[in-house]
Amino acid sequence: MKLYCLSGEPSKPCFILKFKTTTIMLDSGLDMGSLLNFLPVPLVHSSRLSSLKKWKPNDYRGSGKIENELRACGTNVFVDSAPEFTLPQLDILDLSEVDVILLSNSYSTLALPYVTEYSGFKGMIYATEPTLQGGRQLMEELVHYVERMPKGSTANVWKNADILRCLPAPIKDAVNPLAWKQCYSLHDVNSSLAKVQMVGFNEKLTVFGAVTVTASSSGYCIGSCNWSIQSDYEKICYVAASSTLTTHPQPMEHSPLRNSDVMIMSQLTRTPTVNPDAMIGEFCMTTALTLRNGGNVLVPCYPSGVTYDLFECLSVHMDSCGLSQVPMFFISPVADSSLAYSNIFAEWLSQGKKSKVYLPEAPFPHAELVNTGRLKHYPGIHGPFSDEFRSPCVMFTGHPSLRFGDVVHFIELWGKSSGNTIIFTETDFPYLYALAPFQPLLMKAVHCPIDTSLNFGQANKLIRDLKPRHLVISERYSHPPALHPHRNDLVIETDQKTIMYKPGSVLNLPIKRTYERVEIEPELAASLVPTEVKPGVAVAMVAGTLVTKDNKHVLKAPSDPKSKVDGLESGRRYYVWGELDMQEFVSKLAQHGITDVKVEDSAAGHIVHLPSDDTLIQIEEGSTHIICEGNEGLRVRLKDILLQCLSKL
Amino acid sequence: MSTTNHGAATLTCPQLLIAQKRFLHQVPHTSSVLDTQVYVFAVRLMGQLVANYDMLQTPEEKYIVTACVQKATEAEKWSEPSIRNAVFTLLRLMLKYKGALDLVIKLDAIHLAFESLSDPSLFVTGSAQKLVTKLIITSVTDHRQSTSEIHKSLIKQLWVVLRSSSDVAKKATVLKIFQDLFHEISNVILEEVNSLDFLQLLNKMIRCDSAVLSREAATLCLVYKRSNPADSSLDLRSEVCNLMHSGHVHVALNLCRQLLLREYQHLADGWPQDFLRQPLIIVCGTFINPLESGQFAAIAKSISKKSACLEVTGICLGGIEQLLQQGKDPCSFAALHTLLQLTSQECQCDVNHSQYRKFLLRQPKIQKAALRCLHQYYQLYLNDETGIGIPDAFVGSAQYLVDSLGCVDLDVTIVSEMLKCLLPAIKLAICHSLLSAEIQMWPEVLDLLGGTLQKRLCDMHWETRDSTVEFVGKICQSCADDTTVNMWIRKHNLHTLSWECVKDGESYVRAGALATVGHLSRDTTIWENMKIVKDISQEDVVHHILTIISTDTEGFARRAAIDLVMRWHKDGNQLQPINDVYRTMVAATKDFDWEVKLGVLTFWGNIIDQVLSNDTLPSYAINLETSKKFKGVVPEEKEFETKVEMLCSIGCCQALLFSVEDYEQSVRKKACELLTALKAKCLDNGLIQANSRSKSSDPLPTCGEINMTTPIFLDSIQRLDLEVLLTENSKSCDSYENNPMDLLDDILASQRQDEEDNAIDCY
Repeated sequence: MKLYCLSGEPSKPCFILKFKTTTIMLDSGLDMGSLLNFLPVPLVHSSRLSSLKKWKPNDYRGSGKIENELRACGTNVFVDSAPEFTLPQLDILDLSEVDVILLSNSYSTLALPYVTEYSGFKGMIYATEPTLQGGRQLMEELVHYVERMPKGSTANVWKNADILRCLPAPIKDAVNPLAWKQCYSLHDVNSSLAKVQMVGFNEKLTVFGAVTVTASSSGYCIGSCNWSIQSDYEKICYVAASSTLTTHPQPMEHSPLRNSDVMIMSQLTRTPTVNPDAMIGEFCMTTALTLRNGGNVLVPCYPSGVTYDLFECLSVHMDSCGLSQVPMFFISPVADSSLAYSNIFAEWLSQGKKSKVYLPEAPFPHAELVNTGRLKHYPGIHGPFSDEFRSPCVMFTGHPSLRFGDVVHFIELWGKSSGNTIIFTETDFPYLYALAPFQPLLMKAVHCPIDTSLNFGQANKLIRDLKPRHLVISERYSHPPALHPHRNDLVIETDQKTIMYKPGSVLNLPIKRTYERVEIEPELAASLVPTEVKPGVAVAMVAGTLVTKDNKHVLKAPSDPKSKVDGLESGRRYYVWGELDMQEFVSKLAQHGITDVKVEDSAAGHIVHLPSDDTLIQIEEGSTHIICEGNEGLRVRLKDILLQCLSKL
Repeated sequence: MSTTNHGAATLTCPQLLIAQKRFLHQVPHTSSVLDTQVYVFAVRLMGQLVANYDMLQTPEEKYIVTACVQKATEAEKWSEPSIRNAVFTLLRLMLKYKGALDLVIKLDAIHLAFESLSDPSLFVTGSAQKLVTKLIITSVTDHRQSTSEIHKSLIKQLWVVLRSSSDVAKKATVLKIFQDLFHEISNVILEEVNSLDFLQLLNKMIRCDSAVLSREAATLCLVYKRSNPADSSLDLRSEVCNLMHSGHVHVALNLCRQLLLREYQHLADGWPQDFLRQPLIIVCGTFINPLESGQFAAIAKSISKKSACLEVTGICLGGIEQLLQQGKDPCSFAALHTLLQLTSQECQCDVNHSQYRKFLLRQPKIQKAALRCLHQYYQLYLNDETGIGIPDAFVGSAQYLVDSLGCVDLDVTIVSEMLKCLLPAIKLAICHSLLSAEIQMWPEVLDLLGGTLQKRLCDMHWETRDSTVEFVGKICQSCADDTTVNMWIRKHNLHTLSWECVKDGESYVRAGALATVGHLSRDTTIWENMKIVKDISQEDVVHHILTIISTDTEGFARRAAIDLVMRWHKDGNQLQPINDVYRTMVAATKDFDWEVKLGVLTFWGNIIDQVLSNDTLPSYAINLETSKKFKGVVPEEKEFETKVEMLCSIGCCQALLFSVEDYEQSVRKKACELLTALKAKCLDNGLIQANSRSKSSDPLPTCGEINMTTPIFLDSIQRLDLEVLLTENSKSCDSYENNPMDLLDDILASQRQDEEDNAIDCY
């Protein structure tokens, strides 16, 4: 069994598991950290961005034209080109061999078009319906943002290793930028997602008959799941983004993940030192403070997930602070579908939200907020938004990288006033670097990272509860985070055997397959004559033909009955078993004319003495010795008599 | 029973006695059918009669008491705790009569009281304890032969309980009885009990596992020592040391706390203080003035477990707070500062190395106790007149408070305690001129505090918003005269944010914000700046306050708004447009909240006082703001009638008349008081005549129905019998509780009606 670790970022996982005869890809996360090296793409022309100074290394003497590729903003250098993404290392193996892709949550689907399109992939993709729809929304939003303002040229010269090392940090630390890819198209998204087959929680799906895969709720976001991959005698669990906190999704299920042979754990929190509850409080507090001072609040966000919780908590807090009249705007190309879908996925929500459906009420309060006009959503800033826009307000919009999307426009608009605030809640991007191309910025920047996935304490507790025999984790989880080198509590600590992986690792998982299940055809089974060898255990001789098809093994009766009989008879061999009944043995000896028999009990069994024949028979458990001074005829007779007294198979 | 028949007030004492006897006579005879609560009432009524009127002394009355008590002690009734409580209380009260001791003995009440010394009901235990104590004291003072020896037998019984009972609760109650007896008759007790045996027994009990018993025994030790200071057999210091060595550090420290109470000061000699602060010194790792190694080791050992560490540190902090309240400095400021850091998650300094940090980290009880001590310290330094100055760690401690206040997941009660601490800290800083950058760090601390307060004014928890806005108000109230603080408030927009809190969704916050707005408005600089920043006029502000009075859903906020209007009115602030204010106040007379209505009446009372007393102001008062304000309302030379006319025109008289018929007694009472005063002035000024009542049978005008004119108002107050109304409205349920005579009046009145064959068919 092998595990290929294709992703360099544990929070954007992508694994390939080779187990039995199947090749299973686990998640398809897209690392968007590379976006931060690019200049933002403004929605309307920005004279500030376009007037940034071109930059080239002082000692550059290469032949490539780098002048138009890099621009300086403060001490940072950015690439002036269409944004590019870091893909998982898909070239490690042939993607056409992948039989199935299991997707855990909508955030781990974003590299899917790169995997399934133009790669020869012809397998199945399994995901829950909310994961599919959420993933679609994220991809469509991404494509919309990137394609809305296309960059004319693509910069590649700067990726040359000679140039790269001359660049200032952090761009010079970019890992293998030559492998970065531009964004896929809407066609690719649709084509890729068309291959997804929707599954429900705890629905058992067979992969070529070899393994059964089952999704169970992970509590992270709507429809998010963990996977268990099970054969008849082995069990592998894949724990992706999970949460034990009580938020809007259905709570995490533990029991399907218990007692696995191997547990692969990824997507632990990226902000282990902060509590999401406290951060929500900080977010609401900062928002209210800004609004009370007459400023606007900008929240770069994804169109789903924690954003729903933010709507809910913030609206309640604004009510309690007497700010009910302040509007909340939600601008995203998929805002409408995101809000609508969230309220129809009741079966995937927490019990509290689920029960609202029976009242009947919408599970999320944002439906009511939309109805009452407190939350207004628009696909973009053009059109009806400009009629409704008023200040002060709270603006939720993408993209959290601040490199494209409507958020760029609002930073340009509000960035010059210290009364406004931008609040970062998403944890995918370091906020200071995200803000770097907009500096100098007067607008206040507040960091309230809200990551509800497992922290180290929760993960350690979960591992203790689930008791996997082997644990596979990223080596990053084995030492404290770089920013908190002394926090030894921020690591995975377990008594279980742990296997660490690094980006690009290929791990041999220590699972030794010992057994395989075989079914016996009913006709053949009916012909068997089991003999009970001890209470509850019966054995029988069987001969048949083993047929293996679709990874299922069936023992069938031989096709030619005659040959079967002959085969049985010709090769017939009896197996004796059981305990020798001494009285029966003595009486049998008597029947065969041996009457002078003395039986003694020994420590190990019995000793039968035949004085007249000068023969000694030592009968012990598991062995019998006939000592008859070379009288082979007598030995054979005695052997036959003894065997008659034993049971036979 | 809450109604009163006024005719009954004229009944004579014999009639009362007849009614009382009839009522109480029926109780023993009808006890089987009487509701338990009625029976309890009857016994309590007897107690009240004994306590307040010295009744139930005659043989006939004693018979009633005996019969009632005997019936009460029957199993079914006696199982009710309120019966037991009432009987013990009645018997204790009766012991003031001569010969009552015999009655108690006859009723076998001593046995019952001893049984109830560990009653499941604390009230019953308390009343039984008091009865036994009183019995002993009465027996000692009663010199009759038949009863003079009772106290000896009772003390013996108590002694037996102490020595041999396995009932911890009973023993604790007996210890309390001994404490009371030592206060009253220590000589008698010491005659009956061998002091050495007694102290040995107490020592044993102090060391027992029961916290209650050890506490009571320790307290009794102190009482004993106070009663017998010359007894050298009890060396309290040795006792405390022994307790520590035997692992009872918490009892020892509690004993020290008791010693530090004022009444034991003369015994203390300073050593209890050293003992008490020792745990704090140990957990903070600051080995100042260590005790003898034995005691030090004993305390250190006792706090090696989390629960014990928390308990002992809590006692230690309680003792320090107590000392600070007494104005003594236990020299623990630096240690306290360190302790607070130990409890704080955010603290990254050396205190991390303390082995006790894991016990104390984020322990709200310890945090709160430490903050209370810190508050007392600041108060001590603030009130200090000896010029000892502030400690070196002052800015550090304030910095800690401000840093911690910024933590996002802080408990609301801790935030409240921190803000309480910060108030005297800022005052202290002002007193010592720290704000003018004498200490380099202080302006930074203040700046950080400003930012934190801004956030806290928008906190998720309303409790925090409430305590923060209240804090801003208090700062403004006490320190706004200081230029730096004044600037600081404006720089951090604390004034505008406080004004925004007036629109908060939580009524308590709105109420708190309104009070703060009152303080803010007293400082012209702050107030004017607030209006400029928020771009609002004084009229807008007044209008908003009036809207709260008219429309706010919560009484707290409406009351606070009325208080603010009254304050502005009193301070002579511009309450414009004034007619809107009057109109709103007239409407608020009909509020559902009686406290709001009382506030409104107080407002009208102030108006009446100012309008009517204007002509009596001294000449120099003409230049005062208040008198200027009324220049537009009340012309200086107008006659009294004109003033009354003005009161009628603004709706004041109308509101008062409406309130006289309010459904709330306190409102009626207040309105009657105001109208009585006004009527008296009208009489003095000849607007109405004494003893002349209008013959009009028209109903009194009601609020809002008519435009009240002076003649109608004068006619109305003449028709009202305000004295009777005032008497009537001055009675309360409490008055019935404390004075059952009125209740008996009611009973008697109903009896008389029967006698006179005057019953009305209720059908």
